[in-house]
Amino acid sequence: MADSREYRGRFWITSGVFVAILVATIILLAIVWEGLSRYKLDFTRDGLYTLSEPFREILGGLEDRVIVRYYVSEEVPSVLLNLRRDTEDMLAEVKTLSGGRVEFQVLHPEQEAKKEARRKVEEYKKAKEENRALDDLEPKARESFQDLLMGRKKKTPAEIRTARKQRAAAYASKAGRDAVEVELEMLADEYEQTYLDNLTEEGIVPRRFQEQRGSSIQEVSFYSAMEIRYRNREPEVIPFYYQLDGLELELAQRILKLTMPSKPVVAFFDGRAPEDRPPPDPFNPRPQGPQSDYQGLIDQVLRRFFDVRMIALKEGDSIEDLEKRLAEEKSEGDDADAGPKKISCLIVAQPDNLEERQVYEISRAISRGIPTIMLVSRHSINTSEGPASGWPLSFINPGAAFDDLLKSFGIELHRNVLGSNVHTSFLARVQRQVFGVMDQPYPFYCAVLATARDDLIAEDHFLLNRIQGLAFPMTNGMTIDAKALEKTGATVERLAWTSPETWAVEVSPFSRGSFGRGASPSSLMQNYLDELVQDQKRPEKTGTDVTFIDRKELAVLFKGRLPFFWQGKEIPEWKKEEKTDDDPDGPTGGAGPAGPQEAGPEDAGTAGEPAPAGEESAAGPEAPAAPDGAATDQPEIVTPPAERPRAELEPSAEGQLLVLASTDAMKDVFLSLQRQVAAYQFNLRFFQNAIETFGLGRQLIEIRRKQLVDRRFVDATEGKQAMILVINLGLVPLAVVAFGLARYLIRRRDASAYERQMTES
Amino acid sequence: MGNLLNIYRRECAAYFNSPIAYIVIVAFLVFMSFLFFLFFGFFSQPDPDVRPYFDPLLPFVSIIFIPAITMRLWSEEKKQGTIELLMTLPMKSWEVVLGKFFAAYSVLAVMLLLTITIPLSISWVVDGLDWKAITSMYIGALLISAIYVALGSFVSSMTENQIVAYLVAVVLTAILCLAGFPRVIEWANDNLWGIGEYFGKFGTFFHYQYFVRGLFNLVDVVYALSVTALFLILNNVAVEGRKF
Repeated sequence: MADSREYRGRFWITSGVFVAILVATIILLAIVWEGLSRYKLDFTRDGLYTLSEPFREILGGLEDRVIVRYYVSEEVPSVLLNLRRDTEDMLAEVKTLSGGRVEFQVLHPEQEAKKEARRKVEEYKKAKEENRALDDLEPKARESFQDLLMGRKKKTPAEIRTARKQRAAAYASKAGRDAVEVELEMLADEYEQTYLDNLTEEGIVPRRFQEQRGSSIQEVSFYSAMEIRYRNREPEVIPFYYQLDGLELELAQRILKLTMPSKPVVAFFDGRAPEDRPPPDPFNPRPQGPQSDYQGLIDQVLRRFFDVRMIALKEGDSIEDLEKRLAEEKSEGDDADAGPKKISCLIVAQPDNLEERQVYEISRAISRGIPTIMLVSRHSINTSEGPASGWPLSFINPGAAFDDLLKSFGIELHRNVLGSNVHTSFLARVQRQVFGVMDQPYPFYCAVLATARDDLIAEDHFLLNRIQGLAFPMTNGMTIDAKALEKTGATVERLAWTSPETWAVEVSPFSRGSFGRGASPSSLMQNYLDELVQDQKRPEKTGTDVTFIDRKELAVLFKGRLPFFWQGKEIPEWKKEEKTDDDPDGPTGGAGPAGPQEAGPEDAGTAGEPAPAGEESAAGPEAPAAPDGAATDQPEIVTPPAERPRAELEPSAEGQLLVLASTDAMKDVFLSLQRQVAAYQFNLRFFQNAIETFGLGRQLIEIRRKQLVDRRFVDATEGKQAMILVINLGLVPLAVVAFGLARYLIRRRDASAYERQMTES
Repeated sequence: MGNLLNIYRRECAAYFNSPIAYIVIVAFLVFMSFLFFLFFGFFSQPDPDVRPYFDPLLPFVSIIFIPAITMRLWSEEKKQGTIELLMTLPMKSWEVVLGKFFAAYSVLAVMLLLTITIPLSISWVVDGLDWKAITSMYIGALLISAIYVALGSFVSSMTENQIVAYLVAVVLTAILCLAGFPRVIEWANDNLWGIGEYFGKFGTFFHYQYFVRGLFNLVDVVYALSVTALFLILNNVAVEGRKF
């Protein structure tokens, strides 16, 4: 009895302890699940849920809550069936890895709009009942394009209200319904539309899909976008996307951008800024163009996301001067303890006739690890004066020093313009003086295209996320010398290249256009046009021999320890501006406002033969001062020029240089063709990607796009489909039944045999 | 261990010597294949993936089929009075509990493994099936099903009526599964003072969905084993407690 009691007691205690331990374990797991779930194996072949280490670092470093709103329609088109599910899975993973700092909400815009409308209508009704002012509650008045064009005045809330009331009354009397009820329905519709309009303004726009419903095809509107919010900053939006492979990179980019204490600083150098441009035709004066060929890009795109600083690369306005100014400025934003600003990216656009010192500055910046983007070529369309100019071809000479700099990276920039069977074309409006001014459309063929479809871009490269093709107008192409590159110790990643059907077109600086204003696209492109229209460059059609050139690179990215071209050499001096009659103070040290005043030639003590340009003094911040005792009353003693300091720099291991072989690729006039030529949209996105990636730091560069393998039906004939159905719905269940039957029969036979044996015995 | 194996063999024989296992397995296979291929129209999907088979089909179908396997485990013994005999045999109650559990689990495992013909056959017409992820899905299904089997066994030990055992097990399995369902979590968050976030993690579906995604998470494995063990201990308490 005692044993039994003891056993019972022990049993209850043991069971109780086990139950308690297991319950505690389960509760504990629920509590620490998020923390522990980092330790998991990703069984998916594409590593879909394995977020890269840099992204984990970014998530781990978050100090405050980041809210990701995933706007997705409830009704998913069949072609994107898994998009929503996979996105939610990925966001769940992001939330887990961020320790809950990234929160995500899945919102169905259509339903949210209805919810919002209901709420606002209630509010409106309440305000009306309480006789409060309704103006603030009125939905936003929609302005049509015609209204804008006609310059019509915006309707006031009272006018909108009255118009609605009238419409409601008219409809109610026709339909025999209550006018107030109809008015509230109309109001709800307006609120709903306002909600969706607000999303559109933010960049959250639906796409339309053709969807088969029964026997008819319907158009389905589908949202798939993300809005990322952080503190009270302007939210970042990932516009419509339909593939998950680059989402991690985009999300990381947006989160980094939002959580940065201030906008990244981009230094922009335009080598052909207006003051550097060749003077316009004095006999045909044109209206003043914008400050830069890239002004629209800078003002409308770059300045939204970056702190763009234009630099002239002159004494007083050099990279170093900008850095000094930035160091003095305090970081904006709410992080008071954020460090001083620095240049996140240097853009060198259309370098033209660069002096040695300018090239020295660029080389120094690259080697110091300032990420640099270069837009270089030897030809360009002069678009600064608009279509009236006839779009003349202009020649760019980056200068010997700049060519040498490129060579130091193993880059050989070619001399001829390239033409290709893979190209884009558009109709340019060109004004002609034929019996008066005629506005004539002209086919413009000279943009070489590098597309993913033709396997001409490195599609999986992080800079080419969601880029399907790039256009390179008036490109010369580049060749990369692998041997020269080896010496540098840097690595090169080829991003875009020419198709095998590419040829070179020789353009002489002395060729004249049809209308005498330099080589115009009409003269230059006439050959292209003939050749393309007549298929002369398509041997498979004409059977003729065509000489195509070897592959040329159109965009390359250098990474690593990028050599300093001036290493151990004398630092070149800033070019002095010549003294003019208007300048009573003599030559100044530079064009920049902060430029230090330089001594005039009389101070150099060189009364004898004049010193060669650039050797008047050891200019530059590094130059030693001239000795005080330089006597001016002893003309026979010629003071030898002071030895200029030599450049010494240990190149940074984190250098990045992106070279695009077309100065026109990012010019406003081409980017404005986005509606006509989709590739320019990609040009812009690519440029933005590059600056953001450079500006936002190392981590982004290490996040790679995922290579997702598409599942698809292959040869799924009806016969095969029927066979699969037969196997799974028929054969396998039948096999189970057959097995059971066989087993039953065997058992029955054994039982009978046993019974017989028993009876016999 | 010998006793456990004897019980296991006896129970397996009881399943496979009677039509019950075959009926359940065949019904399961036909029902699942019908839903997957015909009802959801697998061949008209733009992304031919095997995942919809595991999520949402399998958990919902399991709620109906697994209790059908487990309902007889103890109820039948009780109804026929063989449980008294079983309990007087020289073996520990946990050996009987585990033996029965593993037998029922084996039926379930056979049932699940027979479905491998689905990915195998569709790989004939689908390029790019992710076999590693499919393996994870099967592991997840087997682990989470163990919980349902243990729960069903426990419920069966509480009643001698198989129908009651079946219905109660269906309800409890559904609650346990759906507690972790995203929509339920969302609803509970919105309507029940935000508790969905916390209570969702006790639901099996919450953990199962990670396996289905192709993520093999140690925490989810520990969760599945712990909950299974908990129900088995409760089962043991229910069986052994009868003696006192």
